[in-house]
Amino acid sequence: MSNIQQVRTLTTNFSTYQGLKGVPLGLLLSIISLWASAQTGPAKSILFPLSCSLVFIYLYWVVHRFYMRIFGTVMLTRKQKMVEVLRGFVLGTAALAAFWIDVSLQPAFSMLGLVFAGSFLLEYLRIHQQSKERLLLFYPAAALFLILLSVLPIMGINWWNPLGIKALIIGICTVAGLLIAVLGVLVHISLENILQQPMELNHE
Amino acid sequence: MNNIFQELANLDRLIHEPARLAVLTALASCQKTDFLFLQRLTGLSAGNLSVHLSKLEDAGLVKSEKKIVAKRTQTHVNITEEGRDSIARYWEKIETLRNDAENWKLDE
Repeated sequence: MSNIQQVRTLTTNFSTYQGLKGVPLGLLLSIISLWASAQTGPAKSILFPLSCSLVFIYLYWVVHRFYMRIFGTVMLTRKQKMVEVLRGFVLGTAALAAFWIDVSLQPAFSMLGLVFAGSFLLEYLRIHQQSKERLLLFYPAAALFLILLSVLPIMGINWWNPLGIKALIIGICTVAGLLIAVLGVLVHISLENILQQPMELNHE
Repeated sequence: MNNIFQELANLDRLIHEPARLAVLTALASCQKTDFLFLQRLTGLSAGNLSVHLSKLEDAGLVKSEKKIVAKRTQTHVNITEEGRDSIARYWEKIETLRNDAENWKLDE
């Protein structure tokens, strides 16, 4: 931990720095999207996505316990918790609205992809911008990649077809899930790197 | 200019020590943390951190609470109102000193 601003940022955003929690969630999104793509007609059984969800929720809990045992816990103030909940609510609502737009109005681009990209960019600007970890530049890179994938259909490029995926929205969810998992690993590495820095507070 | 050096010398040494400063700054940024988090944050051994926390607790700046959960002792630490005021005053003072130092001229 090299400066005091990092101490504040890490403490206030400790849950965000627990990046490995994003791995089971991201993989779950990708796997269920691929399962949806493999369906022909209405799904006969939801046993596969249901059991996948249970397995990945269990894995999430295991990762949660890992962070508690190895890195400790931080309890936020009521105000900080409210802000976190509000942020989650706004992003969740935006994602649902984008999903509805993509499914109902079927625009030539993916609104959901743009919302995912926006959330990556916001996350980077809000927390990771001040970090000197170069690997966290993957955030804006992932956002740009998703924006590109979202707007490519406007130019007539249906990139999901060669991958064997049926629809743009499924392709976007699959890629976003993989990116969430990769970002999770990178954020965890960043947490490890920050905590390994020698204790030389420079009052920045 | 002598005032700046005087002010520097008068900084609260209890807070100015890097590990205690990190602990107080972290605690002032949340409601409470556990001992393990503070240990990972500061990189101190459990014994060293305990000594620092005892000093802060003796000065009334932090409060710790021990609980036994699943046969394990968990120590949670939170900052007191006095601790919050002290760390805020400390940062104000550092900011003033920094501004004074930036405006400092050799011939003064």
